[in-house]
Amino acid sequence: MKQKIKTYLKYGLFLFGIVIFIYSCQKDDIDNYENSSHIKVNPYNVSFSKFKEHTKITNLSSYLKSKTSQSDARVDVTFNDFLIDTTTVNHYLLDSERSSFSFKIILKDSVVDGETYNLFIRERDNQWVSSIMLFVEDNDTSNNTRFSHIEEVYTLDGIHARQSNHHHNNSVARGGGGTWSETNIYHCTNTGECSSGVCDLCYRCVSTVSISFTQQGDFGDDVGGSSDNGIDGGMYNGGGGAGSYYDPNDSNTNHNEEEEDVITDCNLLENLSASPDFANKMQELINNTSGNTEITYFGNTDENGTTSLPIRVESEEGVRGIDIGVNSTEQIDVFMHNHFNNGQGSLSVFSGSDLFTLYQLYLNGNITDVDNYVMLVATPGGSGANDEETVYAITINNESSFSQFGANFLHEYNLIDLIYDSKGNKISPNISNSLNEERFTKLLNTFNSGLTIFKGDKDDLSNWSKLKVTQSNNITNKDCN
Amino acid sequence: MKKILILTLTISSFFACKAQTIYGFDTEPEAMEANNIYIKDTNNDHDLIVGTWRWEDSNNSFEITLQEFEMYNYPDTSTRYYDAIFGKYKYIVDGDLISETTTIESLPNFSIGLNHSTSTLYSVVIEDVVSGKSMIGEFEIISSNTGTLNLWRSEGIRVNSPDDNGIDFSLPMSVTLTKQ
Repeated sequence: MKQKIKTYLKYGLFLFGIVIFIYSCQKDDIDNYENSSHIKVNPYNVSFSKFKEHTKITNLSSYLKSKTSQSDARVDVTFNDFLIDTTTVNHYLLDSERSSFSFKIILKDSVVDGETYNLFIRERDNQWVSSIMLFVEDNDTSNNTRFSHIEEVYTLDGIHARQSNHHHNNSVARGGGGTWSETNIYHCTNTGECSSGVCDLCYRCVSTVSISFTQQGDFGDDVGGSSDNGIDGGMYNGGGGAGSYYDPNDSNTNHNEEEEDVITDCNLLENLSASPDFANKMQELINNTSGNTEITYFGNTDENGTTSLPIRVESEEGVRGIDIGVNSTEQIDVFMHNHFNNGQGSLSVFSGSDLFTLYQLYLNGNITDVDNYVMLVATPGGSGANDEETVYAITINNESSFSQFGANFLHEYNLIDLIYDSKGNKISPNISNSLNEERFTKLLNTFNSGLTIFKGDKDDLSNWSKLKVTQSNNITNKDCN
Repeated sequence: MKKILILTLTISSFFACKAQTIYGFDTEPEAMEANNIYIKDTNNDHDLIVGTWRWEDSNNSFEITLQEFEMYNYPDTSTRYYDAIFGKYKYIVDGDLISETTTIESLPNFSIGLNHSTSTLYSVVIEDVVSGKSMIGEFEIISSNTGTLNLWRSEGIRVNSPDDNGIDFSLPMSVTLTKQ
C-alpha cells in the first residue's frame, strides 16, 4: 500500500509539473513568418537576414556561383550579369512545407522599360532551386493584369531554358516550362470602416496589393528525385532600395542588409542637405519653432538629386496643427514642417498627426517612391533644462510593415494620439528631448512600424545619425558620416 | 534516481516558460520590457475616475461615462497588455441632442479614451462623431466627485483629414463635471 501511494505521488508530482508548465507559460507570439495559416494568403516581406536564416544560404554569391549552368549556346547571359536588390525580399508559402523567396535583380548593362527580372529561389525536393523570372508590363489598360507575360528565362539548376520566338535585344534566352499565371492578393485591414470583414478594395480597407506568380505542374523530372505535382511560384518583387544593389560576383562585399539600409537613407539625407532650397527652408522652420505658427513645405527631388520645395502652407497664428488637402495626383518626395509651443508644450519628436499624414500620403499614392521619401520635422525642443530645438527625419525602410502599422494605428489620428500617451509609451510635450527621442524610437520599433528615424543637427543639416533600438532595448546612434 | 529526475523536471518547468512581466502605473517605459508585459492598475487608481460624470446648466448637459478595460491589448496580436479606460458621451444644448455615442468602444473605434498620468490626472483623446474631429486634453479629478475636462487641438500636420471638412468640433472644450 505504501509503495502504491509513493508511486501515485511521484506520478502526481510529474503531472503537476506538466500542468504548471502549461498554465504558467504565456503564449508566445506566433512568428508570423512561420504561421501556416498564411499559406498563399499573406505574402511576407522579410529581411535579407530572415532569408538567410530560413534557407541557410548565408552567402548568396557563393550559392549562386555553385549552381551548375547549362552549357548552352542559346544562353547569352549568366546569373552574374545581374545585380541583386536585397533590401526587399519577398517570401511566399507554396504549401505548409515549402517556401519561395524572390529578389528584384537588374541587368548590369541595360534596363528595358517595362521589364523587371526577379531571382526566384524556392524549395523543391528538399533543396533550394533558383531561376530568373522576367515580368513584362502589360500596357493594355483594359486588362486586369499587370503583366503581359511572365517567363522563366534562366535557371542555374539544370533546367534547359527553351528558346522562344521572342528575342529581346539583349539576347537573354527565353523559355521555361509552362505558363505562369498572375494573381492579385489584397491585404484587407478589417479594421475601422472595414471591420465588418467586407473588403471593398478601397484604400481604407486594403493596405497592400501583391502579385503572385504560380504554375501548376510536375517538376519531378526537372531536378531529379521523386515527382512532385504541385504549385511552383512566388511573389513578384518590384524592388526596395535604390542604390542598394550588390554584385554577386563580388564575394568580398559586406552584404549586411541593415548596413545597406543605413547607407541608402544616409545618401538620401546627404543629397537633401546639399540642396539649397532644402537648407534655406529647413532653417526657416527651425527659426519658426520659436514663433506661433506651423509651416509646412513639400516638393520633389529631381534626377540629379536636387530637392525643391515650392509648396508652402502656414497655420493661423497661435493655432496648433495644419490641415492640408493634397490632391491625389500630387507626387511628393520630401515633406517637412515645424512645431511650436503655444503654452501647452510641444512635442520634440514627430506627433501622432504627423505619422497619420505620412500614412495618408502613402495610401493616396502621393509618395513618388517609398524608398526615396523623407519626412522631416523641426521642433522647439522638450521640457528638459538644456533642451534646444530638435530636427528629425523619417524614412520608410519596410513598406509592408509600414502598411500594416498604418492600417492598425494611423487610419485615424486620434488613435495614434492615444497610443502616444499610453503608459507603455508616454511620449509627451512635458518631458525632455532625450526621453521623447528614446520613447519615440522604441515605439517605432515595438510596433514594427517599418520606419527609420534619423536625428539631425540643427546647426549642421549635413550631419545626420540613425537611431536604433538594440537587442537589449537601448538606443544607439549610428552616424551617417 | 527516478525521484531526482521527476523533481528536476518539475522544478525546471517553472523556469522554462517566458512569463509575462507585470508593471504598476508608476513604472516608466524605460524600465519595461518591449513585449510580454502587463501594465496594471495595481493601486486601483481607476476606481476614482470610472463611472459617469456630468456637467449641467439649464437645458445644457454634457455627460461622460467611463469604463475600465482590464488587461486590454491592441491589436489582438500584441503582447503588451494594460488596464485601459474608454467611454461614451452625450452632449445636449438647449434640450437638443448635439452629439452622442451610445456604446463604449475600445480601439480602434473608440470615441473617448483616457491614459493615466497620476491618480488624479488623465490625458484624454476624444472624437466628436458629428464633425469627425478629435481633440486631446486632460481630465483632472479635483475631489472625489468633481473633475475638470479641458480640450485642445493636437499639433502636427493632418493631410486630407476630417479637420478639413468645414464642420466645427461640437463638444465643449472646458467643463467642470460632477460624478454621478
